[in-house]
Amino acid sequence: MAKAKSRSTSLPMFSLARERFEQAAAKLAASDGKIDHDMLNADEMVVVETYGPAAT
Amino acid sequence: MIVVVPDINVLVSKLYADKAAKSSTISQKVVLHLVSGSINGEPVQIAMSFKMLDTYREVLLRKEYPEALVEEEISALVDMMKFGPAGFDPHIVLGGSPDPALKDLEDGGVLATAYAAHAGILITDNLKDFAGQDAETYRTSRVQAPDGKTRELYCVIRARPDGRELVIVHPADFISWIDRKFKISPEAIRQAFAVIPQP
Repeated sequence: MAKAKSRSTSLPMFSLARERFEQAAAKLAASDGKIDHDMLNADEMVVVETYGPAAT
Repeated sequence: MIVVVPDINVLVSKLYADKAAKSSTISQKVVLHLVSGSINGEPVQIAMSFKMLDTYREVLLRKEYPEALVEEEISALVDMMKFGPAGFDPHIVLGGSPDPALKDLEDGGVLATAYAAHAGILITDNLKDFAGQDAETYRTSRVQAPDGKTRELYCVIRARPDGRELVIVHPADFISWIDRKFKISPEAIRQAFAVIPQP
């Protein structure tokens, strides 16, 4: 860890970086890259039963 | 503040979901939480090593995503880490030495990164590669994919070299717990879930 001191993430530089990240992600999604459909299927799973508190 | 390491599979899944025009898959929700800067009111610091980012780059290039766009996203990701609440610098981690106890050398690097970053949470789809000796495992949930396949999930607690502990959680449980405002800590997990005995 470079610095242990906590600071707010509302700093303009973080917001700017997040904006750049979201823009780059949108451009990547619009590009000709390929998809792994098994991973996509797994990414759409839903929790049907929980074994801890507030179990379904 | 909580330091979270998202495994590469989370970022890659998120990209696939974006590309498939999905809007609320598990990985999309995870990344949305991480880049929001806080989780249930607690500041969150993303931590990844350059070694992990190299792996991310390799996966995307192999899938034929344009290199310039890949670099653009990685650069922004690095800046989000640097300008996060703890000011994390991926150079500091340097990838770390793989833990020989882990089955997959790449995952050893991910774990080393989590240890070096003093992370409290590691989010990954590859739970089995982080379980095993010297780890506690807890049964957490059952999930079902759109194709009907079900999977039993669990989480893993590992002791960090600095004496604290790391929770290794599946993205589906991470989102489920955040939505239910379940505090993700080793203590809360030990109280809430049944331990899976070591074979």
